[in-house]
Amino acid sequence: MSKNKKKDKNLDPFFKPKTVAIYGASERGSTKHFVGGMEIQGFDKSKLYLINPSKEELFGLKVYKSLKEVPEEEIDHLILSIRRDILVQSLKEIFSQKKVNSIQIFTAGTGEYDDDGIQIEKDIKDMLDDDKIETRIIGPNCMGIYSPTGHLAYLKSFPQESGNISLIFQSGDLHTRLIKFGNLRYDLKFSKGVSIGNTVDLQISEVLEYFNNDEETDIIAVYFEGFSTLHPNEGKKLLKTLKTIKKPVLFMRGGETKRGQTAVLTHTGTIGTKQKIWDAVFKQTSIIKVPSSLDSILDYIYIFYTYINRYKKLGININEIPYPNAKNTLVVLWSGGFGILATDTLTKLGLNLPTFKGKSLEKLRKIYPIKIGSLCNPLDMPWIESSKEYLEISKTAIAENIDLVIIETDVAKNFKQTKHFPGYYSNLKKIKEYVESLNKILILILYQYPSPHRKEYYEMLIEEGFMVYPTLPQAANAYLALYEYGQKRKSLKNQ
Amino acid sequence: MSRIKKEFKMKASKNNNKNKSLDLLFKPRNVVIFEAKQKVAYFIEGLKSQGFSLENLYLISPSKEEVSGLKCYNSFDDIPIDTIDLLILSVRRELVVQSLKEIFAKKNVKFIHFFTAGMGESDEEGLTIENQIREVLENPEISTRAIGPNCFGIYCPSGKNAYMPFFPTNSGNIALISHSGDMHSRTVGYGALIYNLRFSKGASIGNCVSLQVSDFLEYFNQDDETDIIFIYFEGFSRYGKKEGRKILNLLKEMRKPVLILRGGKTKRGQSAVLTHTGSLGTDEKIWQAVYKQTSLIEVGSSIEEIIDHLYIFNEFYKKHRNLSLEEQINKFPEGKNALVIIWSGGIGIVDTDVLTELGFNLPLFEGNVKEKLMKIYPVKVGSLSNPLDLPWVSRSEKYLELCKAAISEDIQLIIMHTDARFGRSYKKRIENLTKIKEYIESLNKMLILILPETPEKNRIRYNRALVENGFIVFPELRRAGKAYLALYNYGKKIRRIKNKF
Repeated sequence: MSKNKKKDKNLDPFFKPKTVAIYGASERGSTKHFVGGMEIQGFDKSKLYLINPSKEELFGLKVYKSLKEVPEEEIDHLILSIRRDILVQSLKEIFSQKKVNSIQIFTAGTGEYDDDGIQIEKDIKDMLDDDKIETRIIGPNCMGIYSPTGHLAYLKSFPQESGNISLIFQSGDLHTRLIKFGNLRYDLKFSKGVSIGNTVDLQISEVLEYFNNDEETDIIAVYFEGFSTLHPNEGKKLLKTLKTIKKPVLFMRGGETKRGQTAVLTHTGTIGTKQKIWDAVFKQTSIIKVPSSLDSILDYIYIFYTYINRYKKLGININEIPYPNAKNTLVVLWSGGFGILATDTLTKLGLNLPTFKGKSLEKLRKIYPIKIGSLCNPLDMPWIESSKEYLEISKTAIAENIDLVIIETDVAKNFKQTKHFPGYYSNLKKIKEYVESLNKILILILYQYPSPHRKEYYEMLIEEGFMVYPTLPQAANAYLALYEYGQKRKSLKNQ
Repeated sequence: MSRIKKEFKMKASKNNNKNKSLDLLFKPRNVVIFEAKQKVAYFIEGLKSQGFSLENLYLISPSKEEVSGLKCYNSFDDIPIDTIDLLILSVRRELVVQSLKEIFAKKNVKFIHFFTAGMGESDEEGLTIENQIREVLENPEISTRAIGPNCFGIYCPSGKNAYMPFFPTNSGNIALISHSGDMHSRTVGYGALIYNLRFSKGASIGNCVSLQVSDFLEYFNQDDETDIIFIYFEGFSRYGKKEGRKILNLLKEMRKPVLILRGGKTKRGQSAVLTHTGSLGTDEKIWQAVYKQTSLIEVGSSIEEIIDHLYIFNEFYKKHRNLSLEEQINKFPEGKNALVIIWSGGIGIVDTDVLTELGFNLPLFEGNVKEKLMKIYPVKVGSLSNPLDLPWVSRSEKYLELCKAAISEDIQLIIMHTDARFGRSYKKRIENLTKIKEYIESLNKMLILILPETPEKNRIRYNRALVENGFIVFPELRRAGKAYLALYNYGKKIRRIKNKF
């Protein structure tokens, strides 16, 4: 059936549309969110057209009776939010009335739901296989596009500022949460995001390719559930794309377990794939596997984001970024008990904590022969955190072939007024400077608890450019992902 | 020992059989701090914050007039008491033994908290000092017992006793035994802030020159104020006799849940233990045997896991503490079948993967249940499967009916996602959730809410409101799942071994 014609690979109409139409606009449901989101992102309202035959005005905007009435030659992006029963009919009308470059089918309850829904998807696919139609479609069953530079968002709460992370998600809610939580927790900023749904037309491999060539994108995160039965070749295409991709791809797969697969069927109705195949994909490509959890993917994105932007700021080409080469870790804290936990946790995860003995230990002791605590790694240095010895010991220890420095930090109430804080904070800043001058990584651990002073301190640290994680395992796993990516890049280059 | 005996005439009780009760350690009638100085003012502030009677707090300093606004006595001769219940000793390590002898010559001391660090964990000299302390305390004429050295001390709100001013002043039912002072402090601090946990008693016990883990375990097992015990354990001190055997025997008899986190489980971690409390590590094999033979529950190696586990046990005892042991045992969850209720397909899939990996089952609805659900509400968007994906329905009246129909007999745990996007208008939402919760609890099943962590005021407010309304709220599913499994495993163990009581 498919005539194998070349579909347009330029996805600009999705992410940077000059004109947007909402077909089936109403005061209830999603229209409000689309209009509100675009308004916040600063989309030119005179280029936003609402269409509904039975309405005059909505959200202060004129409503057009039909697409034909819209005073534009062509529409870059059209959002389709109507009942599934009239979906196919409406698409026919749309195609007959105007040139539309991209469509988001918001409507859910199609292929993931029942046989009727599957038929609807087939009908849409057949229509698109017609050579005369150049329109590209995402969905059905998807939330849509987020693109701050294209002034597009489907929710008001998304940040306006843009960054260099791009998302391809087969779940709208995970996509939404990743953007919101990522921004709130780690101040992440995004280039482009797409909730792609049941993938009746546009495939993950195509978006990946687009992001791979997109100058505004440096990091790609994917939430994958399965392939659409309408696109039997997508598996091969995806693998091919992943093999040649030049940017880090963080890949989370829903339905990793067998039981999870049954849940995929009722969600996007896509066909899952065998674990073995995925194991091979992760082996052959540079993509990084992320465990099933929103928190994990956020943690991973955060370290890539911070790390890559650190080098970009220095004017270094992203292909020239030196990734960590080894897993030697130094832990600095002020508690023996936590030092032991840290040692256990990091060792179990596969990091090394080199012990300072003999000459190395002597060097540290010379700087300050602490009586309470330990200089063996973890450096357990209670009481002296604001002194210059603290800084000097830390620097000397870091010079001992360390790749990753982890400092556990915390503050008390009214910390800004305390005598020790300025010295301590300046020590932290100087350690960061030193670590970065050596192309190494510093991560601070600040435990998560609800308190105003914790929040204030956290914001201060983020503002200053520190990388801060709420727990040690989260930080360590993220570092290991970055390390793994570096290793994979290296071995793929050699091939 | 005899040398010391000759040198000093001890003013001490003749009772050789050391009393088992630790009441006066936790609830001292008086406290003496020597040497009082600004650096240890948090002991004073801690006691003050708990409302300890300042008339019974004596500060001794040969050089200071006052510390923290309280008058200092020049020496032990000047304080008007003969028996000291709790002495906090904070002097340079070189002076510890000498001070001890002088004090014993003048006063009868029930308990000492040796605060001084840099002892056995530090070097040979420190080890020698510890041995000397031990010699002094082993004198049969001395009945004094002690914690430390190298420890933060005691927390007991009902005894108005604390070493930090930020510890809660109201009591709970969790008791702590910790080889690490900071672990102890943060368990109390984070536990209170994050999950509103409250504690009956806590002891940071340090290098254990006198009192051992087993002494506290035995005491807490008998303690009416304690339902749950947590131990942060680094190893056996060189001073406890047959400590391993004692702990094992106690654990075999234990009727309260004991959770343990062992520091130094990895070889590399063991080397860190040596520089911390200088305790001797133990073989993993031995521990595996202990877990098998007793109801002891192991906690992974993170502070989050400690407070997560304590939280779920605490919620259990909040509801069931007044029941008899037999009845309590019946209340522990009997299985690992979970129902997940959400309004997002993607989250549902990730949840399914996470729970399956942890060892849970997510039974699928079949036959009757499925039909019932379809009758109530034939959802078009979402799914009437497990996870039950109910977008757009969560505010309708059908919601409760659907949830009720889905909670079939074979389900033990219900997990629901919620979030703070409702802003200030979460009252209605809590009302709806409360109805579901009451239904679930009437069936002796457990409801856990997942409220993801975001630094928003709304989240903090909503979380607080949920907790105040008696909900169990975790920030992440994996953490909730692990904590539930600990409770489930404890129930399984205690049912099996109760016959031996």
